[in-house]
This record gives sequence, C-alpha cells and structure tokens, in this order.
Amino acid sequence: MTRWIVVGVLCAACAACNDPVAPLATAQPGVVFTYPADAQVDVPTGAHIVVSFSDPVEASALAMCGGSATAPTGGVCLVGPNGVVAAAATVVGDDKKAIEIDTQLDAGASYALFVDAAVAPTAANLPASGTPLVHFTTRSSQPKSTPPSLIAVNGGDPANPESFRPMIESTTIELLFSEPLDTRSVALAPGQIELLDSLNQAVPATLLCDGIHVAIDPKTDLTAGKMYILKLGNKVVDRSGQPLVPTTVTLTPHDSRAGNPPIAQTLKTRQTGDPGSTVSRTGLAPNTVSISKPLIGSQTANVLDSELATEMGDPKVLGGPIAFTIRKGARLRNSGLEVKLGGQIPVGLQTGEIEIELLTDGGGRLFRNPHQPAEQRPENERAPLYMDLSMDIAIYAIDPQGNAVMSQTILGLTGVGVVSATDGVLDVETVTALDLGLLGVTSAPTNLVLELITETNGTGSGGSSALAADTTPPTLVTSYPGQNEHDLATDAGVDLLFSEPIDLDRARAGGLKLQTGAGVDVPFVLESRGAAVVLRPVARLARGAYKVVFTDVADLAGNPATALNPLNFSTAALASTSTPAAITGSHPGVGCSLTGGTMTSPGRCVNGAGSDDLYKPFTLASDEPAEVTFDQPIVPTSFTLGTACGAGSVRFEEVNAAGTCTAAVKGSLIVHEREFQFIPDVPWVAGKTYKMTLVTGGNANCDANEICGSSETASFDILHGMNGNGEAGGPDLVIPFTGAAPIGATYLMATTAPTTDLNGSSTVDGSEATEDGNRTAMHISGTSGAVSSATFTSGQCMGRPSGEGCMYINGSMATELLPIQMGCALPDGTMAAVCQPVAIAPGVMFGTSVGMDAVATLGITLSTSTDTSIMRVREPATGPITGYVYDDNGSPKMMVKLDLYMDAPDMSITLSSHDLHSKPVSLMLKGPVSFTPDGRMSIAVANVADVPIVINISTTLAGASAVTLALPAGQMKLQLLSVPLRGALP
Amino acid sequence: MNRNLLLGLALALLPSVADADPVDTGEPIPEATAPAPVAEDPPPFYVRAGVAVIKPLSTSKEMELADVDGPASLALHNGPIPGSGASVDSATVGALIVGYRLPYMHRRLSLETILGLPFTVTFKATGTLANDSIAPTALGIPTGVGPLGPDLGQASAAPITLSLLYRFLDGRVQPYAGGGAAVMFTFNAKATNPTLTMVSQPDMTINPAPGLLFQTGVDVQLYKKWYARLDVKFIAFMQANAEVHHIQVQTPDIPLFDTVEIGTAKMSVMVNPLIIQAGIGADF
Repeated sequence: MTRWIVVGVLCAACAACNDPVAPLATAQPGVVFTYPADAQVDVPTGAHIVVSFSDPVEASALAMCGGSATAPTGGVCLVGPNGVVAAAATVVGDDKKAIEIDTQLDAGASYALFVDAAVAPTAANLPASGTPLVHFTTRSSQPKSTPPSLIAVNGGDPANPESFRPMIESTTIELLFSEPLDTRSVALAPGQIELLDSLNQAVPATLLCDGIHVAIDPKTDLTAGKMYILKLGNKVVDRSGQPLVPTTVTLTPHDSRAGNPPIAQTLKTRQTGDPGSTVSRTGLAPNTVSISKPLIGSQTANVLDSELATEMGDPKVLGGPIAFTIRKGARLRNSGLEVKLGGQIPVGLQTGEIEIELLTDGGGRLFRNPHQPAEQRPENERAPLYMDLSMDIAIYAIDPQGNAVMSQTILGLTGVGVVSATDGVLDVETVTALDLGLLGVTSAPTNLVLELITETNGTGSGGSSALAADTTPPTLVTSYPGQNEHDLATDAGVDLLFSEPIDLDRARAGGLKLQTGAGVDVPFVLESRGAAVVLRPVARLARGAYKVVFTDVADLAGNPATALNPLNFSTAALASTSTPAAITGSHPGVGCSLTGGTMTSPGRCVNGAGSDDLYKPFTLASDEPAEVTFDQPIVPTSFTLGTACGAGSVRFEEVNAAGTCTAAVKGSLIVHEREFQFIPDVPWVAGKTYKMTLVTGGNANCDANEICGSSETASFDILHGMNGNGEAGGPDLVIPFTGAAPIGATYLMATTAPTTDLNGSSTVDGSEATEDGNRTAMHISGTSGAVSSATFTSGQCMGRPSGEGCMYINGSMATELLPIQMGCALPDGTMAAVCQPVAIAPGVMFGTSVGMDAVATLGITLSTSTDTSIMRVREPATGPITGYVYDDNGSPKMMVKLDLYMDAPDMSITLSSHDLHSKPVSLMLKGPVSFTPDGRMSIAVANVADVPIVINISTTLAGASAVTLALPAGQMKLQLLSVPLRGALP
Repeated sequence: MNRNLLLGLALALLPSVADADPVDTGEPIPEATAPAPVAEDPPPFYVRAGVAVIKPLSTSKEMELADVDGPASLALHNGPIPGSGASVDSATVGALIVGYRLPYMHRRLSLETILGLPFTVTFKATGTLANDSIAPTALGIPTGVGPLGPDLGQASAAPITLSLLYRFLDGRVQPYAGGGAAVMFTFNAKATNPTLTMVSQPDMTINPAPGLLFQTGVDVQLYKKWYARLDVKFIAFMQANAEVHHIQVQTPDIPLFDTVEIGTAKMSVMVNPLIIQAGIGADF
C-alpha cells in the first residue's frame, strides 16, 4: 500500500504548484478631483469648490475654517487674500466621497485650497501639512483705473500660453484681460487684434468679445507645427477709454491628428438607464444648471437628452492625452426655468426650454489624473481620467419672452471633469462655473455639471451616429429699439433678438448693415449676445433716422432667415434748451446740493424749506458702484475723474473725520449719454468714509473740469430754479457716504421710460412725443378765496378729458432688490405672505410745466405755468423708503408709499406768491412687475387713490386764495425700466 | 490549491480499495475453491512501460470574456468572442501502466491506471482568437492590440485514469477491452501568449476535467512474464475549463491607457483525448 500513498502524495504536491498570480498593484487612495483645477484662472467668484476622493471622507473632521494662512484648521479650507476664508465645507454626494465649499470669493484674488489628512485618513496623495492641494485665481470683471492688459491665453500665462491647456489645430484662442474691454474697440484689424500666420498674413477668424473675454476662432483649423502670432494693439481700450498694453503672443498648435482624419464620436448627456457611473463622482447633481442668487432664489434646470458630435484626435501624437473638438453649432437642451423673485414670487416669466449652443469650436483633452503619479494608469476609482473643456456658448430660450430675458453669450468657460470608462462608455462628468446674466440687472453664480457619455455600438468601434440636421431657419423675435421707435440713446447699440444664434461671419460680411436713414453705412461692431446680436456703432450716433438692413442672415447651420424688412428707428431728437442738466438719481446720495448737515445727517437740499427732513447718512455697499443719472444728455468730456484730492469734475475721495480729503479713490469712470458710473479698484470698505463731489463751477459757463449738460453746466441747486438763464452752475454736489458691507441685494438704477421730456427742458418740445407711461393727470377740484375758478391750459394726458392738465415725469430711482421676506406688512395695511422688499433711494423726479389760468377777483385771469416741477422723495423716519413686490393672486405687483416734497421753484403768479415749495404730498402707488418684449424689467405703478394738492396763493390785492388740484386715482403713472439688456453700452 | 490537494489525498486512499486482497484479509482464495484444476493464474500485478501518444480530438466553444469593465469595456464586452476557439496540442509522454488482476473470473478482470510524469498540455488559439485582434478599437480609436497568434497557454497535466479491463483470452495474445473514468488534473497553468503576458503574468486556472474512458488493446507475451502491449484509450466528455484572470494588455496605440485589464477569459475545450500507448512490461 505504501507505493500507492507515494503516488497520491506526488499528485497532491503537484496540485499545490498551482498558485494564482496577483493582479497589478493599483493606485493609492486619495484625491481624485478638484474644482477648480490647479492653476486655473478666471474662476467665477460664486463657483462651488469641490474636492473628491476615492473613498468616503470623515465628515467629523470638517468644521468652520480658522487658524492661520499657513496652517488652516477646519478640514478643507480656502486661504485667500484676507487669510482663511470663514466657511465650513460639507460632505456631498451619495457615496460621501466629495466635499464642497459654497462661499462667495473675492474677485481677482488668489486662493489656496488646503485639505487636512484627517478628512481622508487613507489618502496617500495629499500634500504635506501646510501645503495647499491646489491654487487658483478668481475672476475679476470690474473695470480698473490701470490700463487693460492681457493676463491669460487659453488659461495660461501669456508668456507661456501652453501652461494650462495646450493648443491644437482647432483650438479657439481664449484671451483673458485684466478688465472689461470696450467692445467697440475690439476687432480683427491692425492696431486692434491680429492673428497672423508665419507669412504675416491675417488668419480669417471669428472674433467674439464680452467683457474681459475675447475668443478668436479661426475659420479653418490652424496648421499644426506652424507658428502664429497674435498681436494686440493699443487701439483696444477699456470701458473708460484707456488703451491696452500692446502685447504679442506666439502660438504653435500641436499636431493632434498625425495626418489622419479625426475620429468621430458622439457624446450624449447621460439619462436615466443609460450606461455609466451611477454615482456622481464630483458629488454634484449631474446634468444640472444650478443658479443661486437672492433675486431669484435657487433654481435648477436639468440638461435634457442632447448629443454633441465630437472629433477625437490621434491618441498617440500627444504622448498620452487625447485632444477632442466639439464644433460650433453643437447644442445642449435644458429644461426651462420659472422665474420667481426670491424663488417665491412668480413674475409670469417662464423661459421655456433653454438651449446652450457652442459659438466657437470647443474642446479640450482627456488626460491622466493629475493627482496621481504620471505613470499611474487610469483607474475609475482611484485614478479616473481627467478632462478639461473650453467653450464659448450662447444661452437662449425657446420662449420668446424667456429668450429676451435669457439670451446671452458667455465666453471662456473652463470645465474640469473626471472620466470613467465603464459599461462600454466613457462617462464624463465636468464641472463648470459661470456668471449667468439675470433679468438684465445682475448676474448669478451658476454651476453647470455636465455628465456626458460616449455612444457605443457595443463593439468598441464607438458611436458616431449622424445627428439630426438643423433645418430650422432663424427668425427675428424682437428688437431694441423696436420698429419706428424714436428715442434710442446715441451711445446705445441695436439689439436684434433672433430665435437662435446667427452666423456672425455672414452678418459681419454685409449680412447686417446699420445705415442712416439716407442709406449711408454706419460702422459698427457686431456683438454676440446669445441668440441676439448687437450692432454697436463704433462712434456715437448722430441724432436722426437710422435703419438696420437685413441682407444675409443665417444660423450656424446655414439656414437662411426669410427676408426681413428693414428696422427703422431714430435716436432721440433733442430740442435745444437753456435748462441745465439736473440729477435724477444718485447712488449714493441725492441729486441736490446739501446744506444744514449735522453730526448725524448730511443735511437737506439747498433752498428747500428749513423744515425739510434731514437725509439719513448715505451708505454704499462694497459690491455696488456709484452711479448718477441725469435728466438730459451730458457732455462726456466734461466728466474728468480726479486722481488727487480736489481735482477733476468728478471726485471720489477718502475723507477723514473732519470730512477732509485724504486720498482720491482709484477707479474707473464710465460715462454714458445720461449717466456715469464709478467703479473703485478696491471695493468700498465697510465703515470707511468717502465723499463724492460733482463740480459745476458756480456759473453757467462750461469750463474745464465742470460737468456740463447739453448747453451749459449742470445745476445741483435745483430748488433755486431750473428755468431761465443763470440757473446753471451753482454749488457743487457734495455727497458724503460710508462704505457698507454687502447685504445680498441686487442693485438697480431704475429709470422712468419711455421719456417725454428727452432734453430735460421741463417742457414738451415740438420734437418730443408724449409718452403715457410716466405722467400724471391733474384736474382742478376746487378753488377758494380770490380765485373763483381755474383751468389747465397745457393739454390733457392721452385719453383724459379736456380741461385736465398733464405733467410728464422724468426721473430715476436707485433701488436695491432685497432678499425675500416672509410675512410682509404692505404699505396699505394688508399683509402678504411673502414679498421682496425694494429699498428706494431718495431720488428726484422732474415734471414738465403745466399751464393754468386762474380767474381772480374782478374777473382777472392770472395765467401761469408751473415750469419745472420737482418731486423729492422723502425718507420715512423709520428707515429707508421701501416698496414691496408681492404675489397678487398670481401676478407680481409692487406697492410703495411715497412721501414727496413738491416744488415749483420757477412758478410765478403775477402779483402773487404760492406755497408750492417743499409741499408734502403722499402717494400710495401700486402696479404690476413685468418684462418688456425685449427683456427689460418693468415696474409700472400708479396711485391707488385721488391725491389732493392744495396750492395756496397769496395775492397782494386779494389776500389768500387756493387752488386745489387732484391727481385722480390711477392717473399718476410711473413706469420704471431696467436698462436694455444687451443694447445699452456697458 | 486546496481542492487539488484534497483530490491528491483522495487518490492516495484509492488503493485501499484495490488492496482488498485475500492475502491481506485471510479470507479463502477464490481460486482454491475452484472446482477443477485450471492453468496457473497469472500474477496479480503487472506493469507496462512505454510511450503514450495523447492526441486530443478537441473541439471548443467560443472563448468567453467575463468581468469586463473599466477601459476594457470600451473595446470589449462580456460574452463569447465570435469565431474564436481553442484547442489542445498532442503530447507524447512516457507512461507506466500499472494493473491489478482481480481475483475473479480467472483474473481476467483487472483494474489499471497510468502512472507517469506530468506532461505539458498546450492550449492553442484558433479562429478569430488567433488571427484577429480581440480589441481592435476602443470608441473607434485603434488600440494597437494585435491578434493573439496561436499560443494561448500551457499547463502541466496529470491525468488520472482508472479502468476495468476484461481479457478475452488467456494465451500469449491477450486482447482486452474495458472502461473507466479519467480525470485530468493540471497545475502550473500559465498563459504563454505574448500579448497576454506582455504586461504581467495573468492568473490561469484549469479545473479538473473528468471523462469517461474507453479502452482496448492487446498484451502479447514475449517471454514468460514479459509482455508487449498496444493500448488505445479514448476519453470522452473530457471538458477542460480554463480561466485566465487579470489579463492585462498593452494598448500601444492609446498611450493614455498604456495598459488595460480586460477581465477574465474563459475557454471551454472538449479535449476527448485519444491515447495510444505501446510498451513492454512484466507481470509479478
């Protein structure tokens, strides 16, 4: 038997030889993704900061950040220019592997992201304690006092444009500037921007410009390996007119194809049931567009089923990374948004489906995870592939009204994502932050999380299904100005809103023409604004008739629009006037020279009644500009910004406790036809005292460094009188103010529009058409004393009975749309469950003159006119003037109680005096909040009850008398409009 | 490994059954009870040493892939590879037949098995598996992964057979026939394909392959107890299931990945070997 045992043992021993082979070592656990990417620039200040790990994180290690800039505490923390950002990170994502910081970052600042090892104890790729994981720089889109300069090319340093994202043949050249450019100065031309090939020949390209971004998309792909030169000249200027620092950049595209045709691949948005990762690896909800802003609350649109045709380069030629291109015209469909103020109050605006369309060739690279060693092969869990993505997009909506509100172009989007290969597809999840223009009044931090998967036929041959061709031609939805409108500002552009983006090259090649009424071409630059284009004249328009001629309009797919009739319009015709320019709205402050200041008040208007309310101290939130609007066009060259104490016609100065200037505030002065804005280089510092001074020189002569209206210097002594020679000039406007912390408000200078009194003369001149939106009807409700009767002689308002008077109103109100409030006591004593308070600055409204005949004793008719009527808004003792936007049975309404001082400083009654000086008037105004067809927000209010105004007249011969006026209910109309969304000069 | 070890130990115990010998048990020898004297019974044991040619009459199913995920899923999917196949090469080995004549029926019944040094079985790729790339493209991008070529893998095999024979004649020429069972144990299995082993040596396992054995042959007496034998065995239904785990291949045309783990390849080969053995030996 022994021999059998030997055989058996031999067999057993041989069987033991069959050991399995261990798989290859895998990547170490740790960080797999961050947004922003390391060294990323131009990160929107509202971007969500995300760090993802390969394994679940320790939530207990997260806390409010503190500590020092070199040793922050709190787990995952940002360190910015002011040290550790006081924010707490939170764990996000179903698998608890991602951490997010949601905070508002400072603009134009460098940040470092620190991750403590306690957050991810197993992570093997975290830097040493005290060393940041990534650095990034935030976007700064504010104008600056320094000359503009180029700060990045394709996300990298201009001196090393390859440093962030290498360039290939199809790359759209993305330029980033230090401050917004004046789009009128940005064109492909010598001295402006030139893209030249090695033979010094201009490369045909499509150029887009928006603010700090310029995109140059060569019409045909560049030649790999050839050198191109990008020249930026000093004819490019910023919004305050400062020339660009000339710059030359050399670019040499990499060969991404090795002579082979690109590999077609279709990317589609991953939908439920599609293959791919079931868990978000960034921790953010995929295929969503998340918008968060107090103005509309938090809203999310979903990216719908969409396909993007993609061209992939040769995977070998870049030594690992694979380049890809998404050609312009590709679209992503998104669900619509129902716009609600504060996320609560519907405004009757539903955008309908929102489209995102690439305006230039987009693309990027697939490359190995930068958080793992370079030799680490891709692994879905610990070393997923990375993707960067650069796009220039148009956002627009299918619904015409939604399109008017939403349509916009966003340049220089930089997405970063992780890519997993699973279930036969590449599953791409990218995070992109952007600033989405909102209702024409602000921008909202928006995060776009795209999850795209490759299409596959299951054989590895990829999916490149032919996408449905776009055969729908574009249509013109609306325009600003509209057909035959007559009051376009001379510095405004013409906004043409189409149903989809149009081919800019065809339009620029003569497809769109701006001409005078006589048919003379007017030079313009064509701006892309989503589905809209703006024809922006390179020089201010003259006053007269113009037209836009449509000769060749087509979409990016080549579908031509049906023939369009010319759009005829004109700029506002201005009758000459000797009435000086006056301020309608001032932010901060009030549009009158002040007197009677105290320790607690800046004072009251000069030449008002001594009993006038004293204004409360003026403040200016650190995130808001200073802005002043006028009642007539102003002379831009008369606005000179002081760069030292006591210099210039416009002075923003830091002051000490005694009110003495200590330094001029550096910033940018941007002057438009009827207003100027001043944006400081450094935000207003909370608690710091400043002073705004506007200089008139004390007389009507329009001398250097004096602010001038259409004919003479402006007047800020408005209560002294406005009509007649000698009223111009007078005391300077001096507004002391204090910087304040932001309160989450949306600032809006709302202006009465349309305007009748275009030249600010306080009369309806022959060239001025009466507009019914801003006026008040008046009738005589009684007389007393020596006045037996009275009648108006200057004509009634549209649709009103004869015998009434009509005063046309011109004004502006600096407003702040405050965060939503629950349980609101409205001015009429009713309650609203939810409302949006609107803080209104104490502005000034001007009324046109109204003629009146009063029959006095002995049948003597006293003829007079009010001349300029001035309505000064009074501040309640309890706080700022506050209106409320609320939901009135499904429609948004605004209600506000305005207490006014009414003055008619120029009204003169023969041998008599009157008391229309600082006469208190109270109005309860109510009306709808809506949007105009071109997208502007409109607040149209009217008085809810008759408003009596008793004018007491004291005659030398007959003693006291009175004329009682009444503003009939609903007949004092104020329509406040936001500025045109796209046409207005930024 | 433990499974194979257990099998080995089990086989080691098998002889205890064959050793159910009257000598050992003390029971009466059946021959002693034979009613009439007959020719002397042959010795109970015999051996035949010689050379065996193992000629698999193999057929195979299409190779199947499993656990395909990650980057490999861009080029492959779970399931059979159309047109693929595998075969097992012939082998010639030295073999020793050891038999034991059962003390019944004049010892015409015998149990026998083959003892021999383990031999190498070689798995070959056939069809598209050999001639076409199994992953020519990923998402339409050429991978650079070439055809596998003919070599797949090899393993050392230890076939265990146990057959029951009946000799039809007792003379100098003793034709016989019989049947039994066979199990092929393998060890040291490894992939030998250059493509599959370029990155790392994958883990190859082959399950024990049982089969039904049919046997015939003839023993020819050369001198006294010395015999020559020609033996033919056919093992039916012997299905070798091989799996190769953690296959990593290079993707030279996609350096982004460089190497890709493609999961598990499963081969199922119906080996059905025909074993022809010639040898000489002695009874004892």
